Amino acid sequence: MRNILLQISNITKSFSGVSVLHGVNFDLRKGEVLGLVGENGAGKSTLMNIIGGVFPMDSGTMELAGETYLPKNPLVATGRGIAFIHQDLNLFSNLTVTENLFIGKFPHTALGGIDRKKMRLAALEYIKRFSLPVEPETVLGSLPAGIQQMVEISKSLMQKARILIFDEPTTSLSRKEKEDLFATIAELKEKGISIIYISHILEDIFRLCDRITILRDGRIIETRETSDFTEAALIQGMVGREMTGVFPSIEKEVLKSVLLEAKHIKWKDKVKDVSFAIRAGEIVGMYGLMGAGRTELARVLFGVEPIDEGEVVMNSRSYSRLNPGLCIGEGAAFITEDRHREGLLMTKSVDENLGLVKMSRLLNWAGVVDRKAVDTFNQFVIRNLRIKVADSRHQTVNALSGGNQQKVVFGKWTVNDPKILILDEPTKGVDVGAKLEIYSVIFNLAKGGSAVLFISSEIEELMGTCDRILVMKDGRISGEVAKPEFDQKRLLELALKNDN
Amino acid sequence: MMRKSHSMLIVFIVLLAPFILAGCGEGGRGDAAKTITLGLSYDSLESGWLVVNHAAVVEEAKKHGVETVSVMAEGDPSKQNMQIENLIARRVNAIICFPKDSSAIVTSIKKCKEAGIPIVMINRSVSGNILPDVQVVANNKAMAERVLDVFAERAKREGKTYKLVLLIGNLSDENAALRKAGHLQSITKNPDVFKLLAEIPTEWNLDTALKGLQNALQANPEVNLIVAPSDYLWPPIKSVLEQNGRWAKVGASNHISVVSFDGDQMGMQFLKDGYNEADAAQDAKLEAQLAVESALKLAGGEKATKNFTYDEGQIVTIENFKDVAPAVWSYRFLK
Amino acid sequence: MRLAGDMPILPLFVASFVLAMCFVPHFSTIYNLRNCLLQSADLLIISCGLTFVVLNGGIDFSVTSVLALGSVVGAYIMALSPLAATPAWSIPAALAAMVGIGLLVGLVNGFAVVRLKMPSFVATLATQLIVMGLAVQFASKVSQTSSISGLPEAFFVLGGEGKYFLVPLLVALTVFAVSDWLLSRTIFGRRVYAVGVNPKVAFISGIPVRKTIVWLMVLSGCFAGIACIIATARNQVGMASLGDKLFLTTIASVIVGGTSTSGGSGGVRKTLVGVLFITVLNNALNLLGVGWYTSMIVIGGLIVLPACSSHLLNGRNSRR
Repeated sequence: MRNILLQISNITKSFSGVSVLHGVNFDLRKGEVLGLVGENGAGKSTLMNIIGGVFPMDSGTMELAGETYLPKNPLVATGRGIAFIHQDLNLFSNLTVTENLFIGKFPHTALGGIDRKKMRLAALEYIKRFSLPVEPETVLGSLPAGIQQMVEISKSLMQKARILIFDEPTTSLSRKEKEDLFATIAELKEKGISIIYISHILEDIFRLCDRITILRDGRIIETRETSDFTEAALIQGMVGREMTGVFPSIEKEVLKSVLLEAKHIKWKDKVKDVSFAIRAGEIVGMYGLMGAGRTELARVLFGVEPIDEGEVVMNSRSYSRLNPGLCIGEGAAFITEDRHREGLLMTKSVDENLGLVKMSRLLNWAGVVDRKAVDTFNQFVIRNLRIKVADSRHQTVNALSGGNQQKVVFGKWTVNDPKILILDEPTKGVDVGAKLEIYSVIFNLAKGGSAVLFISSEIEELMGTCDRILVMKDGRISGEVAKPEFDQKRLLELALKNDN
Repeated sequence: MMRKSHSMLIVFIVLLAPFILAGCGEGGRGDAAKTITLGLSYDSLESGWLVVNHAAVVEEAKKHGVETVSVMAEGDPSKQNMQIENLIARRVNAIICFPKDSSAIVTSIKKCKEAGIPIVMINRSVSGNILPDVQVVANNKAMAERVLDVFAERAKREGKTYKLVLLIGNLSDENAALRKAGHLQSITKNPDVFKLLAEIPTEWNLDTALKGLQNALQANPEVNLIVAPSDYLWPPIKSVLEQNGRWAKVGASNHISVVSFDGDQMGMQFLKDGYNEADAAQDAKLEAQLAVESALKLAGGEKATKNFTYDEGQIVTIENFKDVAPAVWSYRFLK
Repeated sequence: MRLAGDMPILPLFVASFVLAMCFVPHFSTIYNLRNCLLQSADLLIISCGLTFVVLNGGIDFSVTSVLALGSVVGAYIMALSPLAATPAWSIPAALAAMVGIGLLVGLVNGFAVVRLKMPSFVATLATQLIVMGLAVQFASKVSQTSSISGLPEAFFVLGGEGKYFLVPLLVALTVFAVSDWLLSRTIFGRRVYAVGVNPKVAFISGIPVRKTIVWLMVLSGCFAGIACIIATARNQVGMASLGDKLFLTTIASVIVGGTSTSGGSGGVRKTLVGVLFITVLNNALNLLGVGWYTSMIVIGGLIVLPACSSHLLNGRNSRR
């Protein structure tokens, strides 16, 4: 029992019946830097949120400095000395440094107003103590990301944090700022503060951390001293699962004609330079970690975001300016990542949602919607996709299961007989049975000659359905793996690869 | 499901309570009015005159054993039309109306005629082809002429002559046009007393009046009489006179005479205090009486012999103030 | 037709109508019922237009100012302009002008919301003030009086004078029927609902969101123009004060009828019931001698009703 500060035992957590954490055990020692690694969806955020009091666990125990720790809300967690430095900083960019430091803890005057003088003096003291290169009255948003981060760290220390959790802290930092951060972490360590460091930049993990914990599919795989790990072993730990998925075996051919092509697409700094081509009948996967830019790419391809540079070629027609209407005209379809906010009209019926994309095929002579044709078509789609709904006219989609909802999304796009499909996490939040059905749909579309771009964070799924897999990292394609060479480790390596 | 309809039921009962209560109250007096009812459609009760007039109508009606029902349009002519429609639906025996807009009210007059319900206009007249059965108005022209005549008589006795400016209201307003005509009539009749230096159109707009009067005084510094067609214009008059250092009571060396019209609080107060010298007061109570009388006669089936019934008003001067003023409607508001 | 579940206001309306018939004196006379219907005509027309905008999650404050400007411009054409001498020309010209003004105002609103990205609340409030100002200025320039009279007799037919009392009703019903048809049977209608629920989803599904919004605003403006015709004909004068206090009643009708202000649910059928309910209520309160301010309190309270009932319903249904 070498100075264990935080002890976590057997934590389980499920969301809507889907189990996310399966009995997680780990401990954090005083004054150590513990690295936490894992793929997207491994459960890192969920675990941290439980520690931070954002939501409660289903079962299990936590002990902080020997006492039971069951935070009801984040305020309690902060009170017990746990601070979160999020990836997107938890600060108010329109307020000053002083105001940010004292958010939630404003000193009051006798009358109840905010004691600005006292605040300012206290802020100056902290600025001196942490050597922050700022003025108390500086507006936070005007400072570079590195400095903002330092303010956030200072805020945590002001709140007497004993444990600091860093979640992907270096994504917005410059090289120098990163070095400063590491220096700060070293200092904190010396003061006896414990740190949990989450990152997928393995190089940094190896540099900073005393021990490393691997989380995979909601389970802790192993925790060891850093010196006991090699990078290869780490990667193997992150992906080394048994492939248990079932995928349809449908014969299809990849044809010669290229239906969708991206030429040096650039969008803000999320998509830096992406080129690829997809043929009719081909299913091309796109893997990558969070923040790689895949969703942004998909949105640019469909005209939801404007193309900064580059061209999109559909059916041999080249476009440098796109909008969804144009894409639909070219026979393209886009299944978004978040069906709740961008895929379905949640409060409307199944029928209404199915009819969203192209009703002009269902008009009669007067330019009026042909009710009968609409009904016939809807029933056909519902049968075809096996959408489980009793009364499609009146049943609202928000009452359906995730799998059925996603099928409705598919349904509405198949009106158009889409020849180009852009799918962004099409089986997210979908149960196993429905997943299989969705894979069949995708296969059949490809068999019918459509070109499919399949974006996903589940390696297994991609390996089971795609003809080849592209890997995206930091806005670029870092590599491509053809079917015969499919390998989990290789794909993750490409997703983690550092660019030198 | 149960709970939903329960709460709906409660809301529903609460909502309809006023209907039921009122209905029960009115239940007895359903249709075929045994008592005669007069509908009173007024623009608003915004001025003192209207308050007194309306109250007088109600009282007068009571004296005759007649009920009244009042509706206020609050400055909206189309609402007034709608309210009159409803009065007709309630089968009142006659309607007394103070219109917001003399042109917009025509459609209501038509409806009254169609329904066979007599309508009496009060204080504001309607012109054109379609007229109400009776119009009770102040005899604007005669009163305007008389007030200046009275003033002229005193001037002759004192051997004074007056150089005057004449303020004019909005000429599309019948009342303003008639008053102007009356004033001019008196001026022409008494050339040895009056000399007209300027006419100042005001459009019944206080700002326009202010500027116009100011310019006129500057151009004609020898003016010693201002004739106003309404007490409504007192604020700009006072303001301009104060600016020119001529706001003074009778007897002071810098006093300038003013003669006005209406008999409202302001005019009468200034008369009492000595800033105003004569005022032609519209008789709110008399007009009320005349209106009610006409309405009842018409409701009884008599036909009106003449369209206009005049309120000759009262001329109040500094001299006769003690005797005449108490009869004026605004007297009780004076300090 | 599943009416009752969809429209909690319908039984309320029927009940209040029955109660009024029984307990409110003079309510049940032919004369009064006829008035009631006529009084509801222009309200129905404006409310239909407003329903489109509310379905989109927006609001249009400018509809009542269209009434004001249309009224004075139309009256000017028919009574004071050179055309006034020939009603055969002046009346159609005036009608075109009134609707045209509504259309223009709608276009301006649409442009402001779509291009300038102003929220409809702000944009239409601004147009309301500007158009009102224009109406008052125009009226004072062309006429000494606050109203413009001397309109041709033939025009009054549109206001339901005498034996033509069916005319405004027919116009209102036609507008209603067209609105209902647009909303329930055409692509445009589907788009209106889709954009109202979630504009992002609509956009990704290829719906021309911006064009749809502009059309909505234009429809609202045009309908206001048509209502202006009826209201001006009924009052038989052009007035810059026309429609002054109408907005409260209009939005109350739409909301009480059950169209949700957050967009995407409701429709003109609900608005129709809302209009009838409010008209009956207003009429009954008037007949009972209840003052203007008290009626406003009652109507204001009514707006709370659908919010309450949908809360009660959603308490069961919430599945987010």
